Order: sequence, then structure tokens, then C-alpha cells
Amino acid sequence: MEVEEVRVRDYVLYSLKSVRERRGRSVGAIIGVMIAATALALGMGIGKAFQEVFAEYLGKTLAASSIFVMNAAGLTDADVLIFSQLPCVKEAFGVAVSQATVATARGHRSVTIVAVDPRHLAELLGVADLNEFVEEGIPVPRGMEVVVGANIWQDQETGERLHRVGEVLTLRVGGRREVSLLIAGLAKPGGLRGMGFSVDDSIFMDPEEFFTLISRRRVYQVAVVILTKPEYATEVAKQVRALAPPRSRVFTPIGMVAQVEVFVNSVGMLLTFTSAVSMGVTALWVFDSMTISTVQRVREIGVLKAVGFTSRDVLLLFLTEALLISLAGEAAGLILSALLSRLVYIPVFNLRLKPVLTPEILALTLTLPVAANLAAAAIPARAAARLDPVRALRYE
Amino acid sequence: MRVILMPLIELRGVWKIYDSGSMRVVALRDVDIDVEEGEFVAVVGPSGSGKSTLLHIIGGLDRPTRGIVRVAGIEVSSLRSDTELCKYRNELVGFVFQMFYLIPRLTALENVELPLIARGLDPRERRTKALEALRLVGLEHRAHHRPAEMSGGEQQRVAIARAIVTEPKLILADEPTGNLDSANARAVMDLFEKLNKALGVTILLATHNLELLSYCDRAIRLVDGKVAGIYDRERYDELIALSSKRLREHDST
Repeated sequence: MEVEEVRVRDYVLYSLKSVRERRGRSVGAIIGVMIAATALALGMGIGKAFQEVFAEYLGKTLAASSIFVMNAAGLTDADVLIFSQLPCVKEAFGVAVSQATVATARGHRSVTIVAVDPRHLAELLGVADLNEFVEEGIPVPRGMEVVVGANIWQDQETGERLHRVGEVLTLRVGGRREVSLLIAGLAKPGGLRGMGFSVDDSIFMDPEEFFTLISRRRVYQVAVVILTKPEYATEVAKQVRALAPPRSRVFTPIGMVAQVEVFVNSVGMLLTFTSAVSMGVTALWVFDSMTISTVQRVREIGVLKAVGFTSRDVLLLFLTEALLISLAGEAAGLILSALLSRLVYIPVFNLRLKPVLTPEILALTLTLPVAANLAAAAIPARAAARLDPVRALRYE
Repeated sequence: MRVILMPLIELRGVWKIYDSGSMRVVALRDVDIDVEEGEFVAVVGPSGSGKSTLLHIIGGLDRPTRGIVRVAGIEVSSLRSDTELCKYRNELVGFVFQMFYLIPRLTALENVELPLIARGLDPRERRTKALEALRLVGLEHRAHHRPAEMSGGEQQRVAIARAIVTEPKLILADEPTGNLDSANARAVMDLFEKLNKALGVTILLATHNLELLSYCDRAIRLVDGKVAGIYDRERYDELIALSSKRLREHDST
């Protein structure tokens, strides 16, 4: 009868029994791998989410090549005109914002009224086509028409529809004054939000009508300065800062994104560091556990060699144990990562940055802890494989 | 025409010297042995006389320092690679040890299957063969019990089943009754006798229990690693007397 190699299935079954026998240590190592895999997946997933969300956001909106000027007292048409005439500026426009309340079955809820020139609405909202912005009705309000955000036209908890296109919406502005407007469009829920405000909690209207019905003062709370090229942002921001009215806040979204990036990267680094520590501790644990196992099973190794197991078979048996522990931890880690990637997020402006688990991230998450544990197990496994069978059988 | 039968085991000028720097221990000295196929041979001698070393060298677990070891036409002493030695052990030899050496977390059946796992045998075929081996040692009903749930005698019979499951030509038993009471020792020896007579398995039994000689065709006496004599059944009394004398001398010193 020809001796062949031990079957893969038998390596697994034999190793599984050993792992089960040392279940206390095995569970410890499995938890370690789970923590390492989860932290690694989430750390990389957060970084990926940041890249995806902001690359898309900057690409779609005017944020990449714009400067925002905010002033609580308001910016006039003259201010906007001055900004628009600066070198390297393509154009400038104002966004008027006001707070109001809407009566609901549960009382009054506050909303933000946003008035912006329809020509700039798509860029401000970060949509390629304004039709992507609305669920129903028209996207560009005219006259007394408004487009209302999703949290206003539907119940946030039940999803029940509270308003329809064609209905009159009564807002209370500036204390007791009531204004009735016509709902022309219902904005889509979620998705990308405008810079500095939540689309879901906003009502969009025409600026001319805004200055007639909502605010008698023709001033904008925000001015958006659009540049010919994003590279000029820092230089033009200096000039805008010099020309803007006192107590204005001037910022470039690119600068803000850079700051957020530092923060997000720090969170990602922290998670990756946690993963690295966890991987290291687990690898040491596996090394320790396998070393103890080798010492405890010296005679068993002797018996295995006596009945025909080769050194390579013994090596693979021990490595399979480490592999099984790693895979069990990986499985638990991936399930936990998938759950946490839905539940955990970093709030950035009014965005929720949730970890994105791409196939590349999953592949790395699968590979790294397994590789670390196999490397750790290799030393005791090689020692086990090299044991002299006679010495092993005489071991007391 | 004259037919020359080759012995199953042939040792020529075998030496085993353990050299650990300052210490040099000669375990076997110029050993010449022939064992025919189907023989039941005892290797006797006091502790440290080299019995276990002899079995380990014949079984391919250890290498001689000098000399030739040939088993079933294979020159074991010249096998160098781990794979060759493992293949030799798996195909031709079954080991039985004093301490049984069963793996505690495995059932009797799984323990018996081990040599067949090393052989890469199909699980179904493996199970059938292992159950057959357990049936031969009268423990089929204990197949799914773990060693801790069995008596010493039963554990040794499981170890014998593990040794015979590959249908080896040779069983090397190193003090197989050393850890058993007399009833269990007899049961184990009866089993060896059955395997030897019914299946024609050659058995080399290392022991210092001369009561077991009645089961064996011949006895090789080792003293200080050297073959001090080879005794057939007719000369067992002489061997027993010699050993008793030596024992008395040892006691008086």
C-alpha cells in the first residue's frame, strides 16, 4: 500500500480536537483576532469612507473651488458684488438663511429656510442634476413655491407622509408672524447634504420671494465665492477676509476638509494602532499557547511520528491549529465589523461618516491577522516537527 | 536447487553510541541478530542493557552509529530522509509501548485510525479497517470510548489495534505488560500470540519479565548493549537461572 499525504480534511479535524481541548486559550486567541480584525476593518473603512464621501462631495459640489463667507449681521448685494470682481473669481452669490417653525401633530419643529439663486442650487446641494434632488414635484421653486426637506414632509420615525405637493405649508417666522407657502417639491431624504445645513430639515425658496415674505432686510447670511481654479483658494480667501465686513468668518471647504481629514485619519490611525496591538498580543498569545501545547504534547508527537506522520505533517497540524483559531476570530471579526459599520459613524458637518468595507479592506483584514498568527505559530510548530521521535517518546 | 530464505530482520555489526560532549554512552555494541519472518522473539536483559534502543533502531525511530540494519529487504540504516523513514514505519512496523501512548482526547477508534490518517486513506475505508483491528483485539464495543474511560489492559489492547491496523510485517513491543497486572498482562500476551500464530506477524518483544518467555520462540539476551546469548525454548531454564544469579549478585552489591 502506498503511503500518501495526510488529507487536508484530517489536518482540520485533528487540529479542531486539539483546539477544543484547549478551549480556554483558544477562545482568548479567537477574541484577540476578532478585536484585531474589527479594528483593522473599521480603521481602514473609516479612511475609505472619508475618501469616497469627500472626493465625491468635492467633485460634485462647488466646495472644491469655493470660499464661504458667513456673517451673522448679513452680507449685502454690494459685498457679494465686490467678491465677484476679485481676480481669479468666476462668480459670487449669496445664500439667505432664516430659522422658522412648522406646526406638526407633536408640536412645533424648527426648520431652516434657505434661499438661493436656482442657477447655483445644484452645486450647493451636491447633485449633478436637480431632478436627483426631489422625490416628487419640481426642484426649482418660483414665487411662493417651496421645496421641503424629507424630515418635514414625512414623519421621521414612522415614515408617514405629512405633506404633499400642492398643499399649503404655514411657517411661523420671526416670533408670531405666519407665512403660507405652496409646496412645489418634496426633497429626497438622506444622501449628500449641503455645506453647513441639513437638506432634510430645510425649506428651499426663491431669494426674491424670501426678501419679500420672510426677511425684509436684503442681506445674506452666507456668500459663496466661486473660483476659476481650486488652487487659488488660499490666496483669494486672504483678499476676501480683507474685504468682508467685520466679524465675518471666511473659510475654504478644502481647508475644512483637510482639518476633518486630520481628525478622521487620527481615528483611523487609532483603530489601526489598536488592531496592530491586538494582532501583536494575539500573535504572542498564539505563540505562548502553541509553545505550551508543544511541550504538553511531546509524547503525542513521538507517537504520531512512530505511526508514520512526517515532520511536515506535524508542522502542518500545528499550523492548522493556528489557522483555525485565526479563521474563527476572523469570522467573528468580520461579522462584528459588518454590524459596527452600520451602527458606528463619525459625524462630520451634517454627514454621518460610516466605515466602508471594500473587498480590498476585507482581503487585508482576512490576511494580516492570519499571517501574524501563522508566523507566531511557525516557531513552536517547527520545534514540534523537528522533535526526535525517540526523545519525544521517552519524555517524562 | 537450494532456496536461501532471507531473514525478516538482519542486524550486522550495529553500534549505537550516544555522545553528549563530556558523556559517551555505548547503548549497543557490535550487535548481530537475525529474526525470521513469523518468529516471536523476546529481547531480555536488565534495565539499561539496550533493549529499547535495539527496538528503536529496528523500527527506524533511531539510527545506528555504525552497522547495517535490514528489515524485509530494506536497508533501514541507510534510509536518510524523514519521508522514507516515516513510510517504512507506517508500512512495515507496528509499535506497542509500555505506557500505551494513546492520545487522550481521541476515542479508541480515532487512536487506531492514526496510522491510516498518516497514510492518507479514505475516511470510510479507514473506519472499516480500524473497527476490524478493534474487533481483533476484542474491543469493538469500546470503539467510541476515550482512553480515560478504559482500564490499562483495554488501553494496551487499543494500542495493539493501532499497531496492527496497517497490517505490518513486524510488531515491536517495548515492555508491553510493564504497566499491567498479571491478568491483563496475560490477556495482552495471549493477543500477541494470536496475532503471531493466526496472522503470521513477526513480534519482537523487549521485556525483563522472564515469565513471558513461554510465549516466545526464542530469546535474545542483551547485557551492556551486547548480545550475551541467544536461547531457544529448550534453554529457557538456563536463561532464567542466569538472570536470577545476576539479580542476586546485583542485590548483594
